[in-house]
Amino acid sequence: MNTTMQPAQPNPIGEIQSGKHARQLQRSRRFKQNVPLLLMFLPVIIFYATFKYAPILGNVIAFKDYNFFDGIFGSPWVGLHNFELLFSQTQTVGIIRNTLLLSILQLIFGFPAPILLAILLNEARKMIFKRAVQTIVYLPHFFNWVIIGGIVLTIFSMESGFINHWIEKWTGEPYPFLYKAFSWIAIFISSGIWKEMGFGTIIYLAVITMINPSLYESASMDGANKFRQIWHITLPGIRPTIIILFILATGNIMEVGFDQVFMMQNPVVSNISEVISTYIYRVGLKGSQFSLSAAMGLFEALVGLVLVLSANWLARKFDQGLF
Amino acid sequence: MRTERKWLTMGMTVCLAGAVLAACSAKDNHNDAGEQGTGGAKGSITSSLYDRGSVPAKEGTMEDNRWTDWINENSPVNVKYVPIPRWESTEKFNTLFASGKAPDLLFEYSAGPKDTWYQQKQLLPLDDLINEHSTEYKQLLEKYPYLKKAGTLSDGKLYYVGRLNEVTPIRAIFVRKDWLDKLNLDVPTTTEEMFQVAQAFAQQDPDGNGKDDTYGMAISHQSSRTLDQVFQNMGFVLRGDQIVRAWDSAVAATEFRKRLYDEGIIDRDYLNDKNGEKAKQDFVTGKLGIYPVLLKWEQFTKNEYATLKQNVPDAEIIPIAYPESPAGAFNPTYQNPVQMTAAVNRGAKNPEAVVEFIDFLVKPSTATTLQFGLEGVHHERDASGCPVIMDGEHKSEVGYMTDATMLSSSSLVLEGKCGTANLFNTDIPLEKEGLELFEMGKEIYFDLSRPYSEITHSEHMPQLPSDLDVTMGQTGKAIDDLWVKAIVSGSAYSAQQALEDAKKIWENGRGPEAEEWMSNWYAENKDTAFLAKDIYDFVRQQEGQ
Repeated sequence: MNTTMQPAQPNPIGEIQSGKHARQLQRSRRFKQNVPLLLMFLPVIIFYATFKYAPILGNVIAFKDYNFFDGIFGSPWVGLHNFELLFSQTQTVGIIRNTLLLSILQLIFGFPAPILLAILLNEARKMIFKRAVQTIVYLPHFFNWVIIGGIVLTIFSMESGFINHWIEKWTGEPYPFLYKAFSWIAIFISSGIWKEMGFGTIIYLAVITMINPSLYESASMDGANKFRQIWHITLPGIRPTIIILFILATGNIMEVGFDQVFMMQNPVVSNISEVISTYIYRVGLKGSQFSLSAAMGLFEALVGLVLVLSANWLARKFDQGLF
Repeated sequence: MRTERKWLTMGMTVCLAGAVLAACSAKDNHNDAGEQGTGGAKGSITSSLYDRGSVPAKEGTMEDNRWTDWINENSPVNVKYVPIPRWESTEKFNTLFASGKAPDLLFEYSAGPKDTWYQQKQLLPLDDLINEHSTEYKQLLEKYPYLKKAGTLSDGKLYYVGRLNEVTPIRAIFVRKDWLDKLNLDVPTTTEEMFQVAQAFAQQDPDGNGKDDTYGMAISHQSSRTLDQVFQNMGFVLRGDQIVRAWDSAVAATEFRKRLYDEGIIDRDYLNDKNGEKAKQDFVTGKLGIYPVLLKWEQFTKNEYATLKQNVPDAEIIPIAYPESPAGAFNPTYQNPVQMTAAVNRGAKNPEAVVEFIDFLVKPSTATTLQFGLEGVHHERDASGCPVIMDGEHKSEVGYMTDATMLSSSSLVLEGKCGTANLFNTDIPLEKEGLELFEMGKEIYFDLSRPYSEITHSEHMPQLPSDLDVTMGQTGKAIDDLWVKAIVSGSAYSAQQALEDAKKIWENGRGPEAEEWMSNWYAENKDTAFLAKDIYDFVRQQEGQ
């Protein structure tokens, strides 16, 4: 009907079809052009598929009674039994609480540290001083936690620790730094900051150098002092980076790194130092309860996912979302 | 043009990557060729082997040294050893199992991991294999039915292989005799006296160097468990033919340690001494007065005692009987007379070869070579025909492979001669003293009028059902941590407070359920299970008491 009434008009369907065809042609040509690049990308895809995505399937053992012989897929299903067993243990809630507590403290105190240091270093006038400090503070990043655990012991232990050596001279009684909850947490958090602060600074310093110097010039001509310049130019300049790193950091909130806490925990403070990763090591690897620890790991990952999504949702409110 | 350049870049990258990979795989090929070269028609198996880090550097490594070469030359099969760190064996085995790399023949002393493998259906039943392919071990099984009984599990099949041991005390408490004499103190017979002696050792400068640098006692790592036996703080214990949880013992042991800690009698950093090395170092440098240990007497003589004598030539030590605690006076752990030490992986590709290798290890001549080396080079026969390691340039070449002999039964049991006492070379003054210590130890620790501190040897303890076992693991750890907290917290947290908290955790952590299970198990199995009284029977038989 339409075509007979308006014969002059070109067939709209036909036009769309030919446009589609042209785009398809263009797409296939572009694909052909990029085959070498895609081929080079292929190993990376395979790497991620085999080592990052395929192991996710292994999480099914959280719903199974896993044994080595029947393997991941042959072991019998047990439904939510492992989760029931996990949450029927009185210690489980405490372990999750410790994990959250330690990582939130790490986030609160550890996250701003590299930003502060980067700004301070940026304001340092002597280049040689800046370089030297930067090198020295990022050196600990390359130490293993085993070494740092040893350093902490030689500083804070009761008889061989040198701080207690002085304290004993003044007060007569050594102070059990590693056996008191508060001082243990303080040592734990600050040793983490000491180790990673310098390395985190590098990223922020790199972003700061990208800020256009003319902004600082005009600000100083307008009479803004150093503090004002930092507040109104440097900080807004690195804001996108801060937000991205913050979202990534919230994803790790449920995992306190294994090495650090494992090297530093002791039985006296276990009610605050036992975290999910050490629980998985102790029960899963030492006690061969693979299904149970997979259930714990899955739970940890779920909470981590929720946290990342909500951090991103929050960031999007300020138009800075990662995705 | 652009496309061509991309192809070129890609081609070059692939070439480079290929070159790197080729370099790596070339090395692998070389290794493969090396192994196949020594091959031949013999079957090939893999076997675990404890690694205690005790192989002298010039001898190579635990898995590759003169004795592994000897085994591969003389045994009917080719063996590739997988070293297992002795004190992290469970973790290592689990990692190997999870990655499908567990060895065919698995050596492990502890009952826990072996039971896990059985629960995980990871073990091969051995009845038919041994019937058809074994000669040596089959004979042993027929001659000593206890071996079969201990190796047979709940489904009625034989899974474990093991050995017969000479019964010796394997825990002891050593005291510095010269310090006792110097301070005019008697050998402590109660825990209270032991505390006072330890206090005097720590505070009255027994080594006379004018410095406050001595410790009264060690309570880290194995010392801790030995001390627990003194108080019978062994979890489930037997009191009047009933299984009970020994809360009173736990409190007594905690209060004892707390006093030691408060008075500075022990190293206050003992919690950091996770493998007992610090305590050992204190002992051999003459800074430690009372040293509770887990030991093999001849090795203690050759290592700790020898080093102590080197550092402090005047030092004298004696073993003392477990002092009487509020719960009574006990005997230490004895070497398990019927010890299950090995099992076969269900994934073993060549089970017949594994059984052949088991037979090879069971042969007394194999054990003699691995423990004492070659006759005429490393050892000679003494008057009674027992091998004795010769002093000389080859001495350091032997002695580190004892963990490869976990299937060798004691010749004292099999032939009635050459026991632990013959391991000491009495021509060497130091070893003569070691033998005297051993004789003293047997004298005081084989007092069979005293009860054994545990229900049975820990390797024969029954395993709780899997779910309960997991929860009890958690509960047990939480409670242990409370005791430790009580020890180091001074007046802020007493042992009694710890007891109250511990009982709450016990109630909520399925403790009563476990207690009931143990009681039922004991009621049903006390006539058939291998219990402390059976161990005492072995001692009587052996010592002719």
